Amino acid sequence: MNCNKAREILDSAFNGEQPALGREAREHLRECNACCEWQASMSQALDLLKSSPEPSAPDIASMVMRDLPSVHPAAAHAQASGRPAWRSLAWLGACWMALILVLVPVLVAALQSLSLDSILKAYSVGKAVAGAFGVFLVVGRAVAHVAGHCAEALALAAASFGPAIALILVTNVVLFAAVLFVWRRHPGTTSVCLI
Amino acid sequence: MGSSDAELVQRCLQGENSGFDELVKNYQQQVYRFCYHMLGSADESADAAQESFVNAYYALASFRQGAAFKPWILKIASNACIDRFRKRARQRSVALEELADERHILPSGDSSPEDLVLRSESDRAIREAVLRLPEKNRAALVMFYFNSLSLKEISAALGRPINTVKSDLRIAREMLRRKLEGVVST
Repeated sequence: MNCNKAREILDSAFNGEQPALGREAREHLRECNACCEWQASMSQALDLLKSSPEPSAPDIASMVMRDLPSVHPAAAHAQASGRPAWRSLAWLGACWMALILVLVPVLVAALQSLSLDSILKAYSVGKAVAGAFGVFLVVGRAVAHVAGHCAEALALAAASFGPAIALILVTNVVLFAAVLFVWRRHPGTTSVCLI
Repeated sequence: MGSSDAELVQRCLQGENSGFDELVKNYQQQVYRFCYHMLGSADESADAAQESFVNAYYALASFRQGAAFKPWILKIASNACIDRFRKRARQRSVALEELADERHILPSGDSSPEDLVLRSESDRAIREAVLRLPEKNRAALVMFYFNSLSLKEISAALGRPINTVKSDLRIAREMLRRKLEGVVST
């Protein structure tokens, strides 16, 4: 082993990368006076460095806290702009209600024609629109919040998803009732698959 | 049992400044020690440490959950020291004698007056040797030996690849060894 390689190994030992020197390095140190002296003077210099006195810090905490606002800007911003959860849900509910209001006239028109096919067509179109709107609402809200806080975005997405599912079920129940109504009036029509 | 650093950060972000107060108290000695060995002057180090914590407060929202707070705050302290080096370069170079301010150094366990004289001479020599190192090498050396950061943490704090940090440390140690040869032999 040459001196360069030996010093490289010694250096990684000083970095704490290897706890013990290998056999070859130890043999080199026994034979090479220059490396042996180098290791000794380096160890002494580092011992001296490590034993140098500790500077005692003044009371930085009180100096720092004096210069800070009473509330962190992130918390202040959240308090100022954050809407309560019920308001988000109310907004969501209003959207769904608006959607149902669009669906109801379609449903009424279908009932008036008394044709099961047209009701089913209206139902499937309504379901597709409602589903697409629900996905847009859930994904859109999550994406909009991704730049902010991930956990908050997921919570909002979950909060949106719950009422969305509930409203889809309500819509299904209403449509099911409508189909049953037509079915009774036209018992001869073919069977219906709702979901 | 005290709260973890992550809990203290969260408390502060939720509007409780007492969380940050606790963080500063936990790390003020580490940050001051780093600034002191980087800058050499007690007053300037206190200012730089204060500035580091104020900057950290406003950047707290960017602190990654689960990350270690010490390398993060030392990275900010390192930037504060670099700003001061630039300011110094624009103004004038500060004499090392002026920097060798002994007011805030705690006395060691040595007892005899001769020991104290020798001790203070060697301490001064060490401090001067450290202060004469190039900034990057000095930052790596101070973080490794005075702040007990791992190579990986230093790499993250200084934004330098780990092999570059190793090389910085190797050069710093070699320069220090040469500068302290006379002190070591006495």
